[in-house]
Amino acid sequence: MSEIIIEPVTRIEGHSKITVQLDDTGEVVDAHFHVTQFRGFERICVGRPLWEMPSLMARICGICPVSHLIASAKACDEILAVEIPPLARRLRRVMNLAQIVQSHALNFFHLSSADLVFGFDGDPKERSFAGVAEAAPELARDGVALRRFGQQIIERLGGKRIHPAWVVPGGVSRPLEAAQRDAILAEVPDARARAKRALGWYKEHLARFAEEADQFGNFPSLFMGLVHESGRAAYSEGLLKVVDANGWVLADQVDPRPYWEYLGEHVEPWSYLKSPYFKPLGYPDGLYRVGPLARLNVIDRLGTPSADGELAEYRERLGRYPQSSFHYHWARLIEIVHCIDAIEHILSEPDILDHHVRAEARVNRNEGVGVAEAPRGTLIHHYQVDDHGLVESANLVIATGHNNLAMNAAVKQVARHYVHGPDVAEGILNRMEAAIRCFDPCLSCSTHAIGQMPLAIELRAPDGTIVREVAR
Amino acid sequence: MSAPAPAPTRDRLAGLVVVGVGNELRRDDGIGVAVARALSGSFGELGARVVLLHQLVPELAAELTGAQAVIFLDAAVDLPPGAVRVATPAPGKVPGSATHQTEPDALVDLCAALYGTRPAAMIVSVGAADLEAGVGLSTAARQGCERAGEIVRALAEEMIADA
Repeated sequence: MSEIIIEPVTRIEGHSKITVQLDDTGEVVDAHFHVTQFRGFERICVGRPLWEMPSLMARICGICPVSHLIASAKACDEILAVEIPPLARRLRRVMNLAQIVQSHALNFFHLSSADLVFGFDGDPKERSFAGVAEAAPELARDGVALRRFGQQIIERLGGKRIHPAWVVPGGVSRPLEAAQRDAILAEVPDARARAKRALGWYKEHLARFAEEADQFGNFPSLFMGLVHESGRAAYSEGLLKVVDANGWVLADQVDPRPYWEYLGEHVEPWSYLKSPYFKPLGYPDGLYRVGPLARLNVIDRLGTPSADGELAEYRERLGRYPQSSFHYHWARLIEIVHCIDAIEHILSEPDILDHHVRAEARVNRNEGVGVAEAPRGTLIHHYQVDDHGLVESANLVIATGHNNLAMNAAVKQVARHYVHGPDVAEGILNRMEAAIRCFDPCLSCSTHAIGQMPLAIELRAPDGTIVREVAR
Repeated sequence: MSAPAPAPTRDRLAGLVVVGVGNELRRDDGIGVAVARALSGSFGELGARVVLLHQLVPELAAELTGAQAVIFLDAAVDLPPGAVRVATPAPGKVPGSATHQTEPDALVDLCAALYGTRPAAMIVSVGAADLEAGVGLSTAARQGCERAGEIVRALAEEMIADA
């Protein structure tokens, strides 16, 4: 038996590798996606004051600091036992939506578009965002502009674009100013036009990737996400909904906070990333997906007209419950349109500049859970504190973790379809990585710089010796 | 009696972008941000744009559109503490990469590819002494920042004059 190892997996946020086990005939027996970094944030939290937690948690990640900020602040709201002002909820929502725009833009344009522009078998020297800038400059410009749009909103609200503050226990630290609102609203039309143009480009090119769409994590699974009680999308608040591949509802209008009642966290010895599963179905049958694909499957509608128009076309072409993880890309682009629309809608409300934005309170509970939708899926922060507000324990269920079982299943599916024997072309390796990229895993990367990381394939004999090594 | 110095011309540095990069919670890693912040008042009055960033991000390419010159300010670990170096951006370790963190040369390349303009670029670095968690610069870094500020003032005039 031989083993193919892809390490590190490139163009994702963090460190990981893929191993593919081959039998004596060269066919794939098994495949795994391993997360090889360990950061221990839950332990770092112990002993820290509650009031520090949102800012501390934002430091987990340079891509999705706002998600951690919001989930953490919500957990703190619980511990304060306050109902935050409605305006604060809406302002938090704006920041979360902006973060989804910038993070989705990063994944689609900067990390994934090169595969779509040049093809999965394209020259690796060209297959980068710099290559896209040369070959499809308008697409690249749209990507830069959309990421800038989201980041500037975060900066305008939070003071800086990476690791902002502003979202605090009890609400937000200061009201929105007219100049901030007007500056954001002035940029909405351009952002919307760019997002729609990118969507048009994607829809035009999708047919070229029928085989990949058929093989990149295309399997029945559960889907989970937060949904507003009306059935529309909810990103910062909402109730939990779980559907299966046929749309059967397994859970709906469920309070997401007692997550331990419906989610188990399995640990595999070959990865630092936990493998959450839907408890009623057990491990590993309780495999579910979160993030854009899952969110579009669990909601009835997004809630803004132009995005709902795109959603209707998406469902018309792919079916009501698309199963292929390749379609995370399309779902991501639709969510960008929706988030831009929703930002405009919220900021156009007449009371958005009101000054009631924070509830002040002391510790009134010793436990709190905060749940929000991060760009990659549902994010859960759970803290226990003493009477002085010092954290005694923390548990974070990260969006990428929810998708761990699905990412592993996707890698195995791609490997089984494309790998037959030890001679593996570069384009096949890229497809295995790209299947992971569809999920946009974010492996806690606030201090991590993606490099031109060599992709190594090692074929290992049953005794562990390397019988062949390929690098690119 | 000598003639009074000419009054600064407003917008004299309008084609300049100064980018200070660093994490101020890692002490001297915040050198670039400290120098840029110290310059922001006077440079702003002369029309330059001063950008403070935790790390270089690809969307900064859009902010370089139309700029004639860009000066990146950063901490350096390969310089003696407080020493100042002025250099042109070298080809990065990560050619073609532009995700959530990038490098000066890649940013300028991206700007040229996307917007058709390539500002002249220089990097002014100051040697860091202390990169541990914490706020505030070391004594050596503070002294280096003062020297770097003077150098950047002269460099800015020179780069704009040459542009």
